[in-house]
Amino acid sequence: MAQSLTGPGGRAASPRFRPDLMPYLFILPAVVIYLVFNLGPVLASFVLSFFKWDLLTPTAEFNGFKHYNFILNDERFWGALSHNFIFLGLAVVIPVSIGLLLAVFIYEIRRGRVFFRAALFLPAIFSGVVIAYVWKWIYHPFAGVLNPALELVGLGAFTQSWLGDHKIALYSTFIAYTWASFGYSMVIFLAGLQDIPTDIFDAARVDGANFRQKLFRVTIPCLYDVFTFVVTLRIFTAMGVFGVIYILTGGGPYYSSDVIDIYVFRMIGNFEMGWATAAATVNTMIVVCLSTGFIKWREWRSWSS
Amino acid sequence: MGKNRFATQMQRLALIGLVALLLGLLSLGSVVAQEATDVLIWSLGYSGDYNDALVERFNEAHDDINIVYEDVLTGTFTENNQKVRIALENEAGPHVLGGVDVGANLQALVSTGQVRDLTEYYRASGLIDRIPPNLLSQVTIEGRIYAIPQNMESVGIFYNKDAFAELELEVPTSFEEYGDLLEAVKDAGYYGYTMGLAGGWPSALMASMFMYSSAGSEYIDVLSGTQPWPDCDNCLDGLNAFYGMVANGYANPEPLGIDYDQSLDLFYQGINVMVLNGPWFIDASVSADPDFEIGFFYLPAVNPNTDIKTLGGIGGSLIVAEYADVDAAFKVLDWLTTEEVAVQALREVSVLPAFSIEVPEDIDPLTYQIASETAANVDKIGFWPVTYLPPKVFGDMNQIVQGMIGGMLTPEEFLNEMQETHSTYLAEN
Repeated sequence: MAQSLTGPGGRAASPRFRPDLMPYLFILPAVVIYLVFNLGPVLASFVLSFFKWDLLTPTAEFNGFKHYNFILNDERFWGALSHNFIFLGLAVVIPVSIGLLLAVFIYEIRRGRVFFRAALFLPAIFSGVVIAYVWKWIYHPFAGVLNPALELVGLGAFTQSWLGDHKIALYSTFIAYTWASFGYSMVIFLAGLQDIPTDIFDAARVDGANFRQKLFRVTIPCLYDVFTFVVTLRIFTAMGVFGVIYILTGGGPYYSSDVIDIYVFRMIGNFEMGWATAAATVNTMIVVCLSTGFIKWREWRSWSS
Repeated sequence: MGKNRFATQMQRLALIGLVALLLGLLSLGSVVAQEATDVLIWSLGYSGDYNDALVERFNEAHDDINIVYEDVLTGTFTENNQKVRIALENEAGPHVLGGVDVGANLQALVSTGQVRDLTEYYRASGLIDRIPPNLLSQVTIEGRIYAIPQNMESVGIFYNKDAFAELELEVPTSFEEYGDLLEAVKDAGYYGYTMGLAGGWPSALMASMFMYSSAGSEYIDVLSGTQPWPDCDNCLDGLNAFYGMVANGYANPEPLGIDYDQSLDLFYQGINVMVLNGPWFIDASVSADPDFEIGFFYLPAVNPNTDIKTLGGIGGSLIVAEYADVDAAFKVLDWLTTEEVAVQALREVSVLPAFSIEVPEDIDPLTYQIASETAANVDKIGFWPVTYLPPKVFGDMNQIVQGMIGGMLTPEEFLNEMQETHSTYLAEN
């Protein structure tokens, strides 16, 4: 049987028209932007890491793996990386858990849902710089509100030099980070919750499931893919954390809250582009490995179960 | 009749010629006026608002040059240095730039060929006789002069005069007296020494002040890399004296928990009665408008035999971009180094000129005192550590000082760690 050469409207289809190429045309602008502004700089940074260059001199001197050798033998690099991992460990648990619990709370309540959703999401829309300055004053040892508030509620024993004590400075910056980031997790979980068919919750309720059982047996398994996305997002942000820490402590005192991006920034500030890009490349590879590994692991678990 | 007609035609021609000549002259004049060369000045130092009238006067007096003056100081010094280097490299920056850091920054600009050699200008203008030799050496690279020291700084103790009067305290003349003073201040319930080191600045500056105060020019050898840090016993004495500010309770608590600006608030609020700072503090304190009068004295030397009185040096310097029009830029330099401009800066924002001028007596008394004392001691001022140290090592020094103040390192360990950081950098470069 001969194929029709007319479309639904009866007009003859152009022989040059290739409907199968249309999706590629639609994504072309985004791909070009991604290649030029994302992948391009990453590749340029990788290439630069093999050269000694001060950003200004027209010529760069090839240095082989010397920069990698330097940073991999630099205890400050490893110190900064270990802080990133501490941050990561905390970031995939605390802001994610807070976000999940608040999303469930907002999902469950009947009144004030819009208000709570907006109020709890509010910190997430502030600039990181604003948040850091707010927390800088909250932590201020003389004029801050945190220590007096702790004393007021009988927790005077917990008053601290929040940013000045090297043992807790990193964790103090993490509190500010958490305040700024749980809102994102919350709205993503909330969107995921709204996608779960309500009859599943109704069935659980009819079966007599309590809050804990509903959370762990129904809600969390149904949010499996959302969890993957939220945790992957936390991996990116925790390994690339910069602004909050830079403003609050500058990586100090004595490198105790230093992270890779501050390490890199310091190198760029000193026009040591080779060292800076080598450190940035190592960090990028770690982030890619962590996030890809995590996603693959989640896919494998999903498939095997 | 014919003769008259000829005469009339000649008159018309003459008139047309005259009009044409006038129009020609007018257009020539406008072309000449349009040929005034724009000279873009960037200021990385104090706000140039006070300069507006001076710039206007210069432009009115010069048909051939039009100065465009822009304040571009935003962010940290590092960020500004980056901005300047990139702008000059791309020939998109200023023709004349004020407030440039000397030391590694100037060397980097010179090594990339972005800065004009001013050696001949110095000789032709007579400026060479107006700049003290130790300042001149800071802008001289391999025998050539590349910058004009613009303003001079020296660090000392600013104090709350009212609190001193209330406690019947005198300005100390020796480090022992300074110790007694701090003890008296502490007993009276004040903090004597203001310290806010979160974020880095001014950790290395403060530690350097005490090391200069004890080791003098020996500390310059250490900074220059010609003497190992741990071998400088006098540096260790200076560090111990600095650490004593915290250990003896002379400084405000939690020096690592507050930053520089927050620490100054403690002084302005009368909680702390002394703050180590440079002349830029005068202008800042005027804006803060505290309820008390402010006095100034140099920190007495930890080691009375030291050959350096205080820390300071060139606050900022003038450079000319390689791509600038030389004649126009040099005329602007002539103007920027006049006594008129220098006095205006001194009067308006307490900027101490680096070249010799007669300090006028009718200025703010504190400014007058510091300007006079700085001028008198110009050959006994040790330069900023960043003049000698590579920027990376200087940045690390800020963190290492924090380690000492936070009790994570002893002063001996501080010197060892500085040696390791400094020598590693030099070996890698």
